[in-house]
Amino acid sequence: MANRVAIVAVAQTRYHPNREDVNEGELAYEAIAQVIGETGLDFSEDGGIGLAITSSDDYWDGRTISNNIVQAAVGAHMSDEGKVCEDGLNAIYSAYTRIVSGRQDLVIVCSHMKESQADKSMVENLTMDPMFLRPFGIDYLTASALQARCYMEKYGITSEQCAKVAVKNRGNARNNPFAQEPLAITVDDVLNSEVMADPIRLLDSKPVSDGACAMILASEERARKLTAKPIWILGVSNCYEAHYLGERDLAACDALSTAAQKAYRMADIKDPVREIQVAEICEEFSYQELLWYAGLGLCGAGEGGRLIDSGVTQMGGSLAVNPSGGMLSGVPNIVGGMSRAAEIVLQLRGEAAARQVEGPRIGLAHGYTGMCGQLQCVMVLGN
Amino acid sequence: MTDNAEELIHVEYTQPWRYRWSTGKYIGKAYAETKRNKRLMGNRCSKCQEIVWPPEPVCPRCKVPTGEKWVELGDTGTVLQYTYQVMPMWDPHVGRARAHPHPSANIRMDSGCHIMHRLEETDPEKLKKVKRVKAVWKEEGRQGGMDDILYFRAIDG
Repeated sequence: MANRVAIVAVAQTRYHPNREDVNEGELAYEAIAQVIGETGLDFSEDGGIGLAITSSDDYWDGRTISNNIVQAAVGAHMSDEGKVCEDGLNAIYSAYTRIVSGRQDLVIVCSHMKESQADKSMVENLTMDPMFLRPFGIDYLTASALQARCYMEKYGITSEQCAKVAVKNRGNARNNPFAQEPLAITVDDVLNSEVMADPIRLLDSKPVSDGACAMILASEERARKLTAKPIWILGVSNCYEAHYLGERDLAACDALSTAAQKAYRMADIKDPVREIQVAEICEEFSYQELLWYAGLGLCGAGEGGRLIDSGVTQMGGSLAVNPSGGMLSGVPNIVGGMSRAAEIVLQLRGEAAARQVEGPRIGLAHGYTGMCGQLQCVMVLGN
Repeated sequence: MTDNAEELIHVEYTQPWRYRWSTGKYIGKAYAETKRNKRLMGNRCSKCQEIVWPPEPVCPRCKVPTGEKWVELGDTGTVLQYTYQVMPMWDPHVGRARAHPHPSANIRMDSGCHIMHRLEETDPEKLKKVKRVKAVWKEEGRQGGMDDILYFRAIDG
């Protein structure tokens, strides 16, 4: 029997369009200080936190080894340290494996990002392979518009159904004190907002955002002593698919399906819709939530539109998706998956205040990295 | 604390980054073909027999060496999806955003593989009808690579 691993403390900054009052290290420390303070832990060799794993991105931060700037803040000086240049859910996965292996019993993770520092389109273009995609000046917005059109045309998904995601998530954000852009909007507001890249409109898209999230993970023995409400990682997996869009079925999200099935198998989840009560998933654009529903096995292929129409994924539905407001209400890339997991931890601890779902036992966190969800990560958590 | 404590000082960084990437054996072959012969070439996997595009030494699906069976992709194909972007998009050649680029498209070539490129047509209404397309090659100044094609032009049939 492998060691069990729990998340024992979580913290997020309030997400903000431009935190020009702090640098990345200071921003990260706002979340880090909270989890250190809450647990009373330190970084001593005798029983302290033995490893720090951060997630950030060199291109977004404009410096190689983008973890340099948070080294002191995250307690990594003269200590074991790692960086994941991917969505933050993968940093939790990495920390999990170190504890499962028995090498560490306490790990701090932190994901930090200031999107306001750079030009989003430029950074995304720089993540493309330089030989075949970068010369076109394509960015994630362009690529996602192609994916949205492919998905919507194949399954008859309407702009109204996509807009419902934006209305739901931005509306939910009104209950989340960390949310950047809570909005009371209607489907018509979304459909009348300006076109960014057809068929994606302004309100279908997440705003530029700065913020950080931190957590402490512990072995079962340490977790029991640190908190009365440990949240267990029951299943986790990731899956990577082709970079070049022509190599992929953009309407299928195969990598997400594979990651989800592996995570469910590990967590012994056989029927995710019945066994999971709350999910937080990353959706930079509204169509993605509908597409990811199917990838996560919450509905059949192409049935995402019907699922949002049914109301199951709204607050009060049997499987609330993104009670926090998701990424559409303003969460940075890279931080997305870790902040989703932090929200699930709050839900499973019964500490989600006005956005609390009633009595959840199993929660789902999802994060992705790269154009049109190239790298997908899925985590199942339980209380 | 001084009187300037609330002044928010920023550091601007606008230097271009210089890289010199080797194309390598497989992409190098594809680039040489566009430059010299105005021809798109991909390699066919020795196992699944599918065209690998962009060309690679290892088939991403079969995870085995692809081998050297080169095939022409041809110049014609069908637009599967397109988008036109209203927001400024980064132009890597000039290092700044451009406001009205040619629309981007995912094109299924008649040879069976999919490529990303631009469309000549810029009118949003006319774009809806663009299905069959053909590559328009640069006559002068080809350097190897996808920019040796200016864009894809709508054709009949």
